[in-house]
Amino acid sequence: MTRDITLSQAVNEAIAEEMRRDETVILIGEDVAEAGTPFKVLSGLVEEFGTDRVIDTPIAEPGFMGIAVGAAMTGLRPIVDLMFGDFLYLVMDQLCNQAAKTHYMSGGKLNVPLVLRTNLGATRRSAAQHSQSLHALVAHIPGLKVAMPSSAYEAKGLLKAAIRDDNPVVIFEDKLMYQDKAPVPEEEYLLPLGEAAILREGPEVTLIGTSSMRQVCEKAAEILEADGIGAEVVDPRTLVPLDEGTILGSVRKTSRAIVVDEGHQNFGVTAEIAARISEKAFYYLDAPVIRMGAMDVPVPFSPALEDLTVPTPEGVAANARALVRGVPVHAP
Amino acid sequence: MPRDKQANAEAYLRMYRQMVRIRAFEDNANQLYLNAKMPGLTHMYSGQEAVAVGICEALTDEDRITSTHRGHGHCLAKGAELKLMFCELLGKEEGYCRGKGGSMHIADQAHGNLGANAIVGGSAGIATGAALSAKRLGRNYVTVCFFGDGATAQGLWYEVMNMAALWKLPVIYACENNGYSEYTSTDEVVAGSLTARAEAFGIEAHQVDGQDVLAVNKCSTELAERCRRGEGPFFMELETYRYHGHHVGDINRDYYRSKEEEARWKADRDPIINFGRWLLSEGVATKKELVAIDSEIGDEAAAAVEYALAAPYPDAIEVDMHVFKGVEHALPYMSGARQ
Amino acid sequence: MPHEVRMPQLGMVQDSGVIVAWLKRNGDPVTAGDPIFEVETDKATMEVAAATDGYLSGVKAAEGDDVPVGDLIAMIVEAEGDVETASTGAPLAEPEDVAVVEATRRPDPESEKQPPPAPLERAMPKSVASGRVLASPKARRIATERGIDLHQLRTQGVAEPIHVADLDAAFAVGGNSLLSAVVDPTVFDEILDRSRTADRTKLLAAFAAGAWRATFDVSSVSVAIKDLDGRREIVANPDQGGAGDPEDPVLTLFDLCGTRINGYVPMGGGVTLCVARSAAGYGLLLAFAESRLALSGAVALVEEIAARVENPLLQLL
Repeated sequence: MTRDITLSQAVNEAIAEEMRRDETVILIGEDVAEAGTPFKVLSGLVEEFGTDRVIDTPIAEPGFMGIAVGAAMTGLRPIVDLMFGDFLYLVMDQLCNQAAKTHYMSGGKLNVPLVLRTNLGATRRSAAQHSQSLHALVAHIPGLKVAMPSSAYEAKGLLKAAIRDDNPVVIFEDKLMYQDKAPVPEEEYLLPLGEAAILREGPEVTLIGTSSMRQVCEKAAEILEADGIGAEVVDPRTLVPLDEGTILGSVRKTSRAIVVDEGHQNFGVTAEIAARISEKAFYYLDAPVIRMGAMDVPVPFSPALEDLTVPTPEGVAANARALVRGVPVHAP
Repeated sequence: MPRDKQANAEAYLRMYRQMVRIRAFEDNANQLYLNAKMPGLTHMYSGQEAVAVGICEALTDEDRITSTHRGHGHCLAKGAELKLMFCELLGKEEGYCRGKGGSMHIADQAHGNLGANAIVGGSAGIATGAALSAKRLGRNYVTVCFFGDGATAQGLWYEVMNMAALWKLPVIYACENNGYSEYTSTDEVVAGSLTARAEAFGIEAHQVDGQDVLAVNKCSTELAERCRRGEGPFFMELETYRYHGHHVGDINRDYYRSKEEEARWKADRDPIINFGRWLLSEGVATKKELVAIDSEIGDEAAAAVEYALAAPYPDAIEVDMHVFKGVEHALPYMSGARQ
Repeated sequence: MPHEVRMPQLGMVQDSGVIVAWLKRNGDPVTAGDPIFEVETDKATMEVAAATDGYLSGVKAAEGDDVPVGDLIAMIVEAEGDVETASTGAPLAEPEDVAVVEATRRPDPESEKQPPPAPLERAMPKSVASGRVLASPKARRIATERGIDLHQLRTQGVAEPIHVADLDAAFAVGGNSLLSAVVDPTVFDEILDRSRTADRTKLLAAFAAGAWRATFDVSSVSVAIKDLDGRREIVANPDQGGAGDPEDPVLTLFDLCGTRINGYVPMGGGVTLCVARSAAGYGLLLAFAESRLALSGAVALVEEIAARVENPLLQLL
């Protein structure tokens, strides 16, 4: 049985279920208790689990991140709430130098089972320091797993799997999707990290979309269907590990791929996935792999400008149409 | 000897042995470096032995420490074995971290050592988090965060001290003030007083002579016990001195520190010599017994070096192991291979 | 003033350069800035551009030649009449005098209806005259597997980059194989000279129909006569005075005599016969899909046509 719940409710349910199941799971971050975060994702948790387990911190991201790393090394399973993905820069040492490397540097003796929950996504008119999608930064670092839920269903299943994982997992929720509803099973389920989903099958072009870009790809596929072009939509769900088998299998079938992600395009997730396709499915490609990331400018404030920086269904469809018709998107 | 005095004597001799052991380890490590037998660099703890030993002798295996790039002393004082330490220093499979950490990352979980840290001040959060675990899980252990005077310039420490004080966590911040922040005199980088910084958060602060193992041990024992009673956190500033440069390659260091100053500390303030003299004067040990200890540990260290030199390197297959817990090999895993 | 084309110094320690490909042929008009050949140095392959306008003349180095830096390899002359012949085989190894007609994509009714999407750059390769055929990796792999020569697809006017769909289209019509022959013009020229009524194109159509009838032993043969302006006419049995009703033509004839064009192979398959008149005589070019017309039959057909052009009396037999 499923019911439609919002992504915000899905996250809340996942945390509540895991905190009920495992006493060692704690929640730590700025305004996670009574405030329930600015997005009200965590409302109600402090009432059930108390301030011992739902811990409000001062505004000190490196500090509470570091504390979470130490707590994770010594028996707790912290869920760290980083209010905005943009604040990743503040916690980079604790996340990337400490959490990510502890298991390796200790030769497997120590491990850091923590979840860093944060968000991504532009077009909320929040300007350059509250709108970034920085998942490529952490996906670059060995030792971190990175999950990118694309709807309430993925948000719940991936978060529960992340909380049970014995390693640091960074999970990015699109802050524009918190109120979006999707069917979510009433019974418990987990989505394993490293398994992509094919959301729509089609013979002519593969659209690979992460997080909310999955919805963009699905809309593009609808536009293309009206044109008589069959697009396949793949949601990788996690970047680390990346389910190459599903992605490459789809591209081998369709011979064409567009990778859509809301991180900056340069040196980003689209580039990485495109490169793996080019390396491993080269002889199946009938067109260059096209990257569509966020425009490589700081996110502007004005709606007139901000909306230009994010991939749109129309843009994805236009590129897909060109590929299928053999028209180069970039001049040879 | 009365029984408690005899018990004390055993503790004193153990402290002496531990300090000698650290000195022997560092002397051999330095020789390995000078003879080009050691990969990379290492940071010598020699001169600061009384701090590590005085504190760690106040702790149990259950108690946790976090350590620094200058961490061999902490590691040995917390109970590590010479052989496995040398193996790690030389990147051998049998090392504490299977050769993956090296000198600056030795972790020894069995003895509560959460690992050395090559980021100056990088472990302040980890130590505080370990204290949060103790409190949250109802465990009675204490965590000691070792760091140098240089790390007091890092912001992280202030953030976590704030939280530790707010949440009354059982953590002791132990600042080893050896007078130099890498290649710069601490006077040039520290404004005001270090104890005042901790006190600003309402944290009780103590200044201790870091060359006096008994003074360090006495203070640490009291603070550890008070932590267990929920009176933490605490701050200790331990005045000490490092005999070598910032690292083994820092040999010509006249520009920031004079040879005369180094000679003076070695002659007047050496923690091992002074403690040995005290043991003799108190009749805890004879000269002959101390020489025997020195010689026995010297032999043990030499044998450990020989062992480590002959020990095998890790197999190449290990290179992508231990990236993720529960994942045998990270590279295929990250490309989506099912476990 | 003729302009010298010398092997350029392209690297710090380069002694010579290998000519990878000539992008212009001897006698071709060139404009300053046009790439005229590709040269490979120890570091990279680079295109060398013409320094001035004119005609490429007196080419001295062949593709594959390793030429010392500074050596003269060609000239650019001002007037077409000043062009000297090449002293190497390389650029002359031209593919059977088939004129490469400007590549055009197949008409795409869809794209005509809709304006191109704004962010797309629809620029196509300016020229397909460079050495490497642009093709997708998959198209290249499948071409190799099926033994399809991508250069030949280019020659047939398939637009680059070539995609799998282009291969499939070409393959569906069997691709075009080319046969060419040169025929002694003496007798046919004399007949045309002396007769005031003889229609060269109609005679050629008659030769083609007669040859087809003789080769394939069929009773009715219609021929399409086309010209480069797009005019088209179908003649029934031209070898029998045009008797009967026109049917589906067995071949399309292009009479290119009197033009500079030597050959034209249209897209879309079918059998095409081009007849051109050059200094050497009458050039015959037969383009055909081997999936429809076996090579042996095509050879026999060209032999029959050539024999008729060479000696029109045969047509009467």
